[in-house]
Amino acid sequence: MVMGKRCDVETAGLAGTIAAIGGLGSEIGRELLRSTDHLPWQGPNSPPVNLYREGIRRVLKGMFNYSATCDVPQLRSLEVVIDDISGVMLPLPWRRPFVNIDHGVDFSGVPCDVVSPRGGERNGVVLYFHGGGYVATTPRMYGGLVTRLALDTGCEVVVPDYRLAPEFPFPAGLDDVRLVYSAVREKYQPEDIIVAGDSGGGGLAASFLVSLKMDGEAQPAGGILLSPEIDLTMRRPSIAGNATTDILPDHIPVDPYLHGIDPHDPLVSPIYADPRSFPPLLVTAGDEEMFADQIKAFVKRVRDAGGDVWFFDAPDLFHVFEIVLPWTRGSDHAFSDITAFVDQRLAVD
Amino acid sequence: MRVWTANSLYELDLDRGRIRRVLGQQPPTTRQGADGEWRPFEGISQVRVGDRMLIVWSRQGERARSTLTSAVVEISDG
Repeated sequence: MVMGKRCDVETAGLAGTIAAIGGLGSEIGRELLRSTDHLPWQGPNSPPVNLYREGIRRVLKGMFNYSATCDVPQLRSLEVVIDDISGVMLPLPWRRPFVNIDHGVDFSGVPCDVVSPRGGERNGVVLYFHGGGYVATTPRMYGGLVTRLALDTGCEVVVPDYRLAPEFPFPAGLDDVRLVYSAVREKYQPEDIIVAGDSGGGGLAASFLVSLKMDGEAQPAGGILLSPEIDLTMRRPSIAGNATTDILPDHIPVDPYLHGIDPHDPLVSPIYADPRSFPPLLVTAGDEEMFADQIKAFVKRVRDAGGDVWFFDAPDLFHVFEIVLPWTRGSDHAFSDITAFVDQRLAVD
Repeated sequence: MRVWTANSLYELDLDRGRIRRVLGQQPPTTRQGADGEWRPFEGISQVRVGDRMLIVWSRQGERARSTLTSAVVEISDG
């Protein structure tokens, strides 16, 4: 359920929603008109691909900059609108015949979207935590990605609708995904489960793995972390250095989620956890993203401790490129890695 | 060599580097290939009771294309 439809969450009302849509449109317009040191069709790819990439980047940058600064009830109302549009648009029509999608399935009290390939390929599940910096987005907005995941891997994909900050700061989201995992465990053994996520959801997936280790519970078969937000201190050079090349807002809000928690706490910043806390991992990053340095540092830390990490550092791409630029060569490479990783970690029979 | 996993029976020809699924509880998936059809592999993990078999089909650059089976429950000759 989108946050704005929960009974205990305040929304903006009709006038506030219209104002928020206007504000969002104007911020996107400003971003599209902003001049840079290169023309939008210039870049590392063919001119049409560069134009497409730059257009997406600017639209999302404007969207995220606006979302990071508007008030919370307006953000929640905007989410309801975008969630409704996503419900109509996603998954893409040519993939719909090949999957079953159930919304709002109860997993220990937490609603989840469940996407299953028709004629499922294996007895395994991907537990996917959506991104949004712990403050925004919904499972339905990920309908395109998780459908592709289900079809490429042959797995059922479960997408928890975990609670978001600031209304529900840490540890509400982590508590929710732990509950979902306990329900998933009634059907699957740990070796049949992959935990995955992107951005804040990738950070949450890593936090979740750390929490399992802390509690002495069995680890799942693997983790897939796409552009994970893994260090909430936000002090690494690429945070400022890649602010002009990435889609993330110039000032990434972490206080609503932390709510006074030390950002060095390993359950909010898994980069500071015992690096032996993780099962085999597949990690991706765009080398133009603001999280590039923290992700590379995390990969090095886990590898130095003997961990098994597949890492794809995508050249000339930004945050969560697999989701927002799914037709690029980098995304093809990432999805090919995801399929190979799942094939190696989950049994087919 | 015949290898029973929790859900399937495989025949393994280590000399010729090939494997085929003979039968299974579920219809074969695209990752397993058709039942009865030999498929050449590039490598295979040690086959022993209690472990899953990892069959490596080919390597493309850094990543291997592979298939993991359920745990082996019995191994016999022939």
